[in-house]
Amino acid sequence: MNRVKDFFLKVNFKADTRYLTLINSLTLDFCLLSGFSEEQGKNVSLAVDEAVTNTIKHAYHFDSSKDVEVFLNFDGRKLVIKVYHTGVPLSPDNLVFPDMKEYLERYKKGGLGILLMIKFMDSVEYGKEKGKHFCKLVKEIEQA
Amino acid sequence: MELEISKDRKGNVSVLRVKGAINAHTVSDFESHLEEMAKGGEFNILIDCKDLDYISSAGLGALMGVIERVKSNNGDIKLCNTSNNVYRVFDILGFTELFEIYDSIEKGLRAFEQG
Repeated sequence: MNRVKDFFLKVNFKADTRYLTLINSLTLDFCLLSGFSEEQGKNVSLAVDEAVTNTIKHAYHFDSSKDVEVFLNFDGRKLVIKVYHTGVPLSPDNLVFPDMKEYLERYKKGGLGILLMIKFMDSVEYGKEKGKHFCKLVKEIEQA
Repeated sequence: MELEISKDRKGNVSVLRVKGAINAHTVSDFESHLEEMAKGGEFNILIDCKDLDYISSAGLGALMGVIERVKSNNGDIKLCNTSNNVYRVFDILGFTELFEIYDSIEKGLRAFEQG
């Protein structure tokens, strides 16, 4: 597939987990169109799935009347994805990163979404702009 | 692409076939199948991931929710036929230490026979 340079996609939807597979598929197609490999695209789309899930769960407490916006932008080198919401801000200060050794030994649950986002993306940031909170995921394409 | 689950029995092993995606939306279905099996005393569980497109942290949480009960009843949860991207999720978080993954259903069944 020919790589497309400098393009974006904006998707608005209600904070309902039923849209997760759609967002996952859209993100994968966006990555492939940007020139990422299928493996990288699947990693990125999983990270977006986790970011959207966190938004629905922690920012909106499953209130499906609320709005989520996913903005994807590729500039020919770098993919930037922002998941916007107007709910409870998700701060990195409140995030707990599990100790995986202890996690697996004690059969713990939860807290793995952020870890997957960090493992699969180059950077994960939280912030606020234009009255909305966001989670920003960045992945740079590997140059051939 | 939602989640379809079917189950059959091979000797003393319950084989759970998952098709589609396991994410925060579909995980309750996956979770209730696992719960039902544990409640019914089915502690040897082989999950066939041949048609599993992706699994998110929600799916890993569902496995963690039953694994202690399964292991304490001398059972195990093993997986087989994982795609590269599904395997990567398990591997990157160290879940391959807890869940054995085989490249075919036969190898997975054999692993249960061998204890």
